[in-house]
Parts: sequence; C-alpha cells; structure tokens
Amino acid sequence: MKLFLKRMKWIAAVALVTACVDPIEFDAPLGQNLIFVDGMISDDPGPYTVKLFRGVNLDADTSITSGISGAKITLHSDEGESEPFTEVASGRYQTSGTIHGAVGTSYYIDLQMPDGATFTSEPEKILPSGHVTSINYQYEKRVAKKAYGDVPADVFNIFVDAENTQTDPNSFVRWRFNGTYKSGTMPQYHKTFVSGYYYYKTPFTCSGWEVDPAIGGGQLSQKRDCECCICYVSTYEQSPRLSDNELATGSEFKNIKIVEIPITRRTFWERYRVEIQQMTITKNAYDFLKVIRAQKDGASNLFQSPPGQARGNIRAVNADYEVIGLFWGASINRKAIYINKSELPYGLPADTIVFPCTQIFANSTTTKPSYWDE
Amino acid sequence: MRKSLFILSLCISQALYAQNLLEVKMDGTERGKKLAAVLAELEAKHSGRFYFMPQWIESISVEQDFSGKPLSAMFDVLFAGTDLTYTSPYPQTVVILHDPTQQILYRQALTKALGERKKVEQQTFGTAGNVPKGKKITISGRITDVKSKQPMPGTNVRVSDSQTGVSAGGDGRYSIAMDAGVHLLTFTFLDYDEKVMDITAFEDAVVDVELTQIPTYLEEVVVEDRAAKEVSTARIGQTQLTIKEIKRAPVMLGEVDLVRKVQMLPGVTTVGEAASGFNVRGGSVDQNLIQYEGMPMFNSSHVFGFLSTFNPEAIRDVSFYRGGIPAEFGGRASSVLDVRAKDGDYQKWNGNVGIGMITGNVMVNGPIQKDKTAIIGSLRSTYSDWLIHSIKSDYGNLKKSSVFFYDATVKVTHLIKPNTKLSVTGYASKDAFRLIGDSTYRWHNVLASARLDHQFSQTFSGEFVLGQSNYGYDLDYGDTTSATTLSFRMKSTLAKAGFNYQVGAHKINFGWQGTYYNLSPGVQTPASAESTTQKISLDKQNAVETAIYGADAWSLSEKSFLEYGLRVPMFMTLGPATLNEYAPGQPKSIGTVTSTENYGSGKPIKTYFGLEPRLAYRFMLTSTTSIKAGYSRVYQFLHLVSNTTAVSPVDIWQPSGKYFKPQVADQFALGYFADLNENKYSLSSELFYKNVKNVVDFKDGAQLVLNRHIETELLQGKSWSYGIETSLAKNSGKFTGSLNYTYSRSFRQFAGPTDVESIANGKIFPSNYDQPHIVNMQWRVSLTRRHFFTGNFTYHSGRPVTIPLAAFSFDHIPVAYFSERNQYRIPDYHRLDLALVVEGNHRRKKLGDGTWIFSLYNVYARKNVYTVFFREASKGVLKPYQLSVIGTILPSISYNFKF
Repeated sequence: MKLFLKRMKWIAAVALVTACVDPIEFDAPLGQNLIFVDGMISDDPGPYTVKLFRGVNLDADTSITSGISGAKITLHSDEGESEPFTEVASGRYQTSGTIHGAVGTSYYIDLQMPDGATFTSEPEKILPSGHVTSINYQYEKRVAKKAYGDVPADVFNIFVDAENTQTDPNSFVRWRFNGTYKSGTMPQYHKTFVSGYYYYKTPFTCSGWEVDPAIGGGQLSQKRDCECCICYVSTYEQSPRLSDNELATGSEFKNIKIVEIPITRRTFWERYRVEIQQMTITKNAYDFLKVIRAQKDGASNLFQSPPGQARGNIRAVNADYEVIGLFWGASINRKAIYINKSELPYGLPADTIVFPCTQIFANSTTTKPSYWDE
Repeated sequence: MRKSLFILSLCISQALYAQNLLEVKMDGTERGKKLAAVLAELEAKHSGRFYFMPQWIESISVEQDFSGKPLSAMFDVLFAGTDLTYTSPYPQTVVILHDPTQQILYRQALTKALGERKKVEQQTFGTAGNVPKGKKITISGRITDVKSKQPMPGTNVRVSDSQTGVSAGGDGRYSIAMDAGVHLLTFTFLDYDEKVMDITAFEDAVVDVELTQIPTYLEEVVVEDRAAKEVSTARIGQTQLTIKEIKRAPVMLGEVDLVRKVQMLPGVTTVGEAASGFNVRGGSVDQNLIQYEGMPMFNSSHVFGFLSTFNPEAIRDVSFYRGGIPAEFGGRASSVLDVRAKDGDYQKWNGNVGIGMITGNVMVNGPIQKDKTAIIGSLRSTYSDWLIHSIKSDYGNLKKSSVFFYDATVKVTHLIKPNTKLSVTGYASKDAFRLIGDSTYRWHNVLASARLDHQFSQTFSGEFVLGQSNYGYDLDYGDTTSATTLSFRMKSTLAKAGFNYQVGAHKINFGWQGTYYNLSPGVQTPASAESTTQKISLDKQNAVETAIYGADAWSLSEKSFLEYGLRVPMFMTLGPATLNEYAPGQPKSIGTVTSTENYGSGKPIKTYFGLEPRLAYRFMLTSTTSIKAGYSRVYQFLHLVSNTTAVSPVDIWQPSGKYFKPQVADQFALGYFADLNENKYSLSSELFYKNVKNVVDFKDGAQLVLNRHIETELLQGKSWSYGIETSLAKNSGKFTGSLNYTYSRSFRQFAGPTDVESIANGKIFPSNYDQPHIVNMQWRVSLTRRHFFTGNFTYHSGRPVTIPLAAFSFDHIPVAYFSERNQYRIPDYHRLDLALVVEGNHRRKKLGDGTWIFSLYNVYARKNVYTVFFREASKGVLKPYQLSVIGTILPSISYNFKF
C-alpha cells in the first residue's frame, strides 16, 4: 500500500487546468516549544538510550533537533529494578548496562525535566519475537520522471518470510530495516582551482596522500593509509514496516515486502548489507508507529488525510505541559544478507568523489562495523 | 391585501314579536321570479325590511323550487359563489352584505394578465345556485408538458384572487379547494409559458393543463415563479432548478454544470474547486442521495469533480431537498438531488450541439412513432487531452498524461395508452485518468431503468420502477513487476412502486421501495504477467434495504397546509460472510478477536428497522408571506469510508451491519418567506438544526484500502450542525439577482471508552466542512432581450485543517507532529465570475437557436486554497503548501446550437 499511496500523485489531476502550489503559513505555535522523547529497551545487551529533545520549527532549514540537557531519567522494571540514565551528549541519555532487558518483563522510565516537571512512561513489556526465516531480493528496473527527463532509478526490492511465535493478541510484528553499504571516495584527488583551468592539487590529509616535492611536478605519493576513503554507511527505513493482519497466514508471513534499496554508484560501490530485525511490539508502540507510517505513506498524496497525532506513552505526573514520544520495549531477532555489486544485471562505473567519505555520506563511519563481512 | 367591507347604514324599526324573517318558509310561488321581486313580496307579506343595493342582486333569479324551505336556505344557494352574504340583526330585518375583496382581486389579476398579453382561457363548471353554503369546491387536474406529455411535478398553481396556492405532486397532479364562483388560476413552471385559466365553477371540476416550454428566455416570468413558489410551497428547504436557469450563470471553462449550481444554493458548501460532491447543512458528502431517473448514482463526478456526470442537455428538471425531505426519499441523512431526464419530443425531431472548452455534446430527440413513442439520446465527451498536453507544468511530462470521460443517456418513452406510459432509460458514464503513464484511475456508472406510469382513475395514479445501478472503480499502478489493479464494485438492484391518491383536500402518496446491494469492497490483482503482486480479494458484501412510506399533503385551510408522513426502512446484511467476534467492552482490534462466525449464503447477519416521521407545515400569513416548519428523521445505512477531505475515486462504500450502526439524522427547520412589492423582491430565511448519530470517521493513522477488518479502523460518533440561511432576491426588471448569506456550524465528537476509540481525545472538533460564513451573490443585467451580463460572487470561510506543528525524529525516522484534528483553518475562499450571454433571436419559428457564452472565471485571479498538503522541505520537516486549483483568471467561450 505504501507504493500505491506514494503513487497517488493527484497533483496532475488538478494540473489539468492551472493548478498552482505555494507555501502557506499558519499562525501556529513554534515547533521548538514541543518536547519529544525517543527511547527503547530490548533484549540486546545495553546500554539503552533515551533521547530528549525539542521539536524542529517548520521553517527550519535543518531537521537537527536540539537536545535537552540536565534531565533526570530513571529506568524501572516491574521486578523492582531501577537504573539511572546518564547524559552522554546533549539530550542523549544512556544506561550503564546494569539492567539487561528480559523477555516477559515490563519497563518504564521516570523523567524529571530541568524545570522540575515530572513524567512517566506507561510500562511496556518485552515480548518474545518470532524470526525472519529468509530474506529475498528482486531487481526492478525503474525510471524516475524528472522535469528534465527520465533518469534510471532501479531498485532491489527486499522481501522477507517470517514466523511469528507470539500468540498474545495485543502484540504486533515490526520489521526494522538497517542497511549498510560500503562506499569509497578519492579525497587524494582533491584540487583547488585558482583561476580558469589552473589549480593546485590539494589532497585531504586524511587521504594519506601528499604532493610529493621529492618527485616534483605536483606528483602525489601515498604516505599513510587513507583514513577517509572507505566508509560504512548506515541507512534506515523511512517508514515503519508493521504487520498487517491480512499478511499473515497462520503464524507465517510470506513474501512481505520490507523496503526498496536504490541502485546507485554509491550504494553498490561494492556490496550492500541488508539487516532485517523482527520484533514483537506492544499495542502502544504499534499505535504510535502506525500513525507515523500513515504520515510517511501519505506524504506524497495530495489528498492526504490528517495522519493524526502520534502521542505515545509518556504521561505527565506533575507538569503543566506535554511531552510527546514513546519509550518502548521489544525483543529483536536479526537476519542479514549481502547483495554484491556483481549481482547487478549491468556494470556500474565508479563514482569519483574527491572529498572524504564521511563528509559525503550521512550516518557513515570509517570504522568497519563488527558485523561487516568482507 | 386590502380588505374593505361595505355595510349599509341602517335605520331600523323593531318588531320584537314577529317571526324571524329568515325563518319564513317559501311557498314555491317565487320560482322563476327575480330575487328583487321576491324580496319585495316578502316585505309586504311579513312586514319586514330587506336592505341592499338593487344592482347587487339584479342578475339573480330564483330558478329552483324552494317551497317549504326557509328564506335563509334560499339565500345560501343563491349567494353561493358570489360576493354576497346576509345577516339579520333583528327578526324583521335582513341586511344583504357585499364583500367585494375577492372580486377586486379577481379583476386585478385578470387585468394584469391581459395587460401582460397572457392568453386567458375561460371554462365554466356547473351553475350558480347549486352549491350548499359553506361547501368548498375542488378544482383538480394534471399538468403536463404539451410536447412530451410528461407530468410536471412542482408546477405552481395559484388562485390569483385568494391566498391559496399549491404545487403539483410527483405525478403532475394538483388539487385546490376554493369557494364556488369566479377565479383566476395561474399555472407556472420555470421556463414554461405561464397559463392563466379564468374558471367559473359551482361544482368540483377537473382542469387538466398543458404547458408550453418557452423557446427563449423570459426570465422575469421564470424568476417570479420561483419566488412566488417559495412562499406557497409547503415544504421547507426545497429548491427546483431547471437547466436553463443553470445555463446562464458564469461557468468554469464554459462548462455548464448542475452540481456547481447546487453548490451556490443557501446551506450548501463545497470543500473546494474540484471537489466532487457537496456538503449540505453541515453534512458529509455521502449524506446526499443523488438520483438520476430514480436510480442512485454513487459517484457524480468527472475528473475528480471538475464536472458532474450529468449532461445538462439531457436533464429536464432537478429537485433539491435540503430539509423537509419527502417520505418517498430516504437512505441519506442530509439531502436529495433528484435529477430527471428529458423525454423525447413526440411531435418532431430536434436537437442540440454544444461546444465548450473541455467538452462537446450532442443531443437528439424526436418521435419514433408520432404522439406515441419518443426517443432522446445524448452524448458528452471530452477533448481535454489536448488541454493537458498544452499545459506547461513543472510536474514532469504531462504529455504522457491523459484525461478521458464521457456520459451518455438514451431514453425511450412509449405511451401505451393515454393513461399509461412506459419509459426505459439507459445511462453510462466513464472516466479514465492517467498521470504521466504512472497510475490510471478509472471509474464508471452504468444505470438502466424501466418505469411505468399508470393513471388508474382521475384521482389515483401509480408509478413502478425497476432498475439497476452499477458503480465501480479501478486503479492501475505500479511498474512492470509491481503492476497492480485495485478494484471496487457496487451493484444496486432496485424496485419501487409509488401511488398517488387524491381525496378532497388530501393528496396522499404511499409506496414501497426495495434495493439489493452487492458490494465487492476491494480486489487487488496483478496487472501484468511479470507482476509479483499477490491477488487479494476482500469478501463480498450483500444487503437488502426496503422501505414502506406514506404521506398526506393536506390543505387544512386556505392558509395552512400540512404534509405529514412516515417512512419505515429496513436494512439487512446477508451472508455469505465470515466475521470476527470482538471481546465486549474492548476496542476492536485483531488482538481482541474472540471467535469467528460464519454466515451461510443469504443468511441474515444483522437487521435494522427505523421509523422516520416527516412533517412539513406552511402557514400563509398573507398572500405574499408565509412561515414554514419542518422536521424529518432519516436513517442512512450506507457509509462512505474515506480519509480524504474530498471524495476520491478510491473511497469505499460500507454498509451498516454487525459492526456499523446506521446513521440517524434528525433535522428541524423553521423558515419565513415573503414576496415584496408585487413579487419584485423576495426574502426568505431558514433556521435549521441537524443532529446525526453514528457518523463514521477514521482512527488516526487508519489504513482503509484493502483492509479485511475495516471495523478496526473506523469509529462511530455524533455530529451536529445548525445555522441560518437568508436569501434576498430581486426578481424582475432589467437587473435581477439574489444574495444569500448562511451562517452555520458543523461539529463532530467521537468519545469512546478508551483513547483508541476516540478521536482528538474525545473532544469536540469542527468537521472538515465547517464553514461558518457563506455569501453567494448572483446577478443578471438584461442589456437587450438577447444580451445578458451575468455574474456571481462567492465567499466562504476557510475550512478546518490539521497541520504539522513540529518535526522530530523517532527511531531514525523523521516525523512530523500534527495538531489535533481540524484545529486550524485555510484562508477564506472568495471568487468573482462574470459572463456575457448572447442568445439567438426570439422568434418562435426559426431553424435553430444559438447561444454564445463568454465568461471570465475567477476575475481577480485569487489563488483560493483547495487543499493543504505537506512536503518534506528537509528530512522530516514537513512544510505546508497550499494547492490552488484555479490560480488565475480563466476566460472561456462556449456555443450551443439548438435545432
């Protein structure tokens, strides 16, 4: 349905005549006045993280949120355990690992804002998850229609087969996609133009290459290993994939489409790792994520309906304002596959980017993740 | 009205002992004598005195034998139907009185009619002196179109010299009670020559009338008729439209449209320019029953609402009820739009060709067998593809887009006998809309009906309808490997029998209606051989809706009129079906399913009954002012499930049943109507309050399409609306026009036992179409008899919307946080349109009749907001954008040629 809704670009229906689109402003309170919580506990070993931050104004040019420092957050379980969170960065709070999320246990947080207002989250139980039995992928040729013409926009469609062992009627399945790809740049070839065609070779230091005066003629030579040529880039889903009742046949889910991976010179520089995390979530989390899903899926629909308020499970204890968000718990079952560049039906020329990869790719790191298989 | 009473001054000598003069028995000798002579004899014989002016009674002779009867009985007979009456202040004194009011009014009306060169037809029934005192006579009959012989319901019948007025019923019949004597009856219908009958009647009589359509526009007559009618019709909130009236308004892109005209009526709003459907008195779009030839039409829009599916050339007339819905209609909570197709001409072949900016249409009609069988066919289609392809757009390559639609009607009418008519109508409309070779939306309506009208006797008639309405849509989308077709189908098979019976001052109609619905709420199929799409087919749904109804339109007196009725609907959903049982007291979700129940084919699943009282009352305060009141209750069993503001072709109709209760609407209305300055101006004002139980709305984040358990995504709550509609019209002169102002509010509340069963935390929120202030102005200046300068201005408050307030990120997903539902408003809507109408010459005999319409739509190029949507400006930051469907001035030319 996501695909379907995305394609409901009704705009041309109205472009039939002289439709025009302009920004519109409402006299609404600023987004920065709203406070949000994003936190989770799972059966993975800790630490667990809670983010506390202000909303982004709608006229902002960035989606970077500003964290709220100085809050006191404590994790509790229904078995009487508790552990404080420590602020590790502005608005980012982590446990030290004393509590290890366990299936069957309920957890909640207490939150005291710097101004003294207190909140608590509704207890969320970690429910046992089923598992992904297989991940399959399928190449699809596609073109994107741009004002200047068609451009290739091929994708790999990712499907899973899964089993749900959970019988609790108030549980739902979420498949979270984490993608990682390895991609490279060539910061050693960076140039600084001075006028017209004249330039200096100015390789980035992290590339390990330098203009070697010993060779002369502006020749480069490698002095060290490159520290910013290879990046591991994390990508996340743009909309939560939740179990819809009609998808299940008994306890089995078959051929559930999870995500589309764009095929570009950057994503398929070498190989792409697809990790699907299956988790069983509570009704609270499902309702919250469902509203998010409706919003994301309807985003390109001109006749989009109000997706509703994602209010979450944070309740005021002693406060005259609201905090919006969810502290949720889930057990996670993971499965990953790699799709290699060689599996593409055609060759892709390498991208020639002359900047450090960390500057080019959001959510990237030059440190090889522990899970990455070469 | 001026009243005067002339009473002779008296000088009386009293004779207290004598027998009362009025009780004197006649002896038979008076027969054959002049009344004056008889009175002189009585004076002499009984020492009494009669006071009168000789000219009053000079024409009266005693024709009958009154022997043995008292004088009073003779006077009663002789003075019946005249202006004369009598009184006896003292036993030996009789004063004959003359009340000339009626005569004055009669003469005034006659002089006016003759002065306006109207043809006045004279008819006499019975003779004077045969009517008992106090007894009224009844003139009744049937009003038909002279050419098509089709009955003309809604024709206004007025007795020009009294305060009485009625409108013809559904079968074109009318009945009007009045004193015996001389009266002028005026029959008027929009766009028809007014007919004036000079009736002298001393007994009940049948006056059948044929009206002739005006070949050219004599708008003064037309508008006067409308104004007068609002005062005298019984029903509140009823509007009669004819297509000629609609055609003269300025139109978008030269396309005359019925639904757009309806949207200009008081109490009617629309969510925007290209919105299909309309909202009546704070009701949702699915609460309007749209009927074409008695068959329901479930999607009345072309191209998502730019045009309606009614070809104006094929429409005869339109009745729109927004309050006081008659008992014969039911099933929709807010309004009824009853569209009737034209009949073919029984005399000769003629037709019409029209060319507009977007569509072309052709209509041909004529006799298959003269005076016996007639046919009419019409076709309208678009050549808008060229328009799309010529638009410069920043939205990709529009050349790969396509818009296509057509609608076609064929109607054959056959007069089996003079009192029996058979009509067979077929209608089809289809839309196909493709966006840049991407998704194709297709939807269709196919209707077929057969109708038999039979006149059992002068006072008893019946109509029998059998038909089927098919509505469906298909949506094709996806690339080669994901090509998918999503389909929805709805079939309604309908039978109805309605009867009209007239007895005295009562016009009774009663009948039975039955509809069998067969819905296929969603089928997803792969649309290509390579497609990986899974086939999903939601279970079909079957339901039966029946209703019996009866109503009596009762002329209580000259001044007051009451229509009361009762409709008893029944709705039953039928198997086969497999339905979930949910834990009682818990929100419906897959998690709360306790068991599953199977229902065999044809097995009743859930049955609903209702009692729908309908009341309409009118009281004429004077001959030109009236007050009206109305109450109606309506059950609505079909719900349109939609989470878009406008109707979109992927909306689903959901029958009431195990999970959804029927909507129940109660509406109260009170109105004041006045014609001022001899109908030059008319004024009306209506107050209404409407309360609807069990309206359906979606939960936050609901997924509606292809959902097997749609009951888990929908909630039922209540809605209510109230308002005042005021209208002032100038009906005659070179400048005519109207000004409507409506203030109304519309709210909803969904407060369930838990958060997930509530919307907006159970708080009251304004409905999507809550537009408090609405102003509509329309005017026409007659430059010459053939040139008209027309215009309209419309204003309404911006409708409520839900907007994002902030952006945030959750689990790496950028998200917007939205306000509570409908807490903000888009800017107000206003627009000015102007048109110049140039009509052909007004000779009655000519080869053809051409009309040019030059119009300017949105004269000051306001970018009215149609909808607000949100685009990601940067990751997760949803910025609101407004879409203006018409963002500029739109000039257009259209030409219609009638032959």
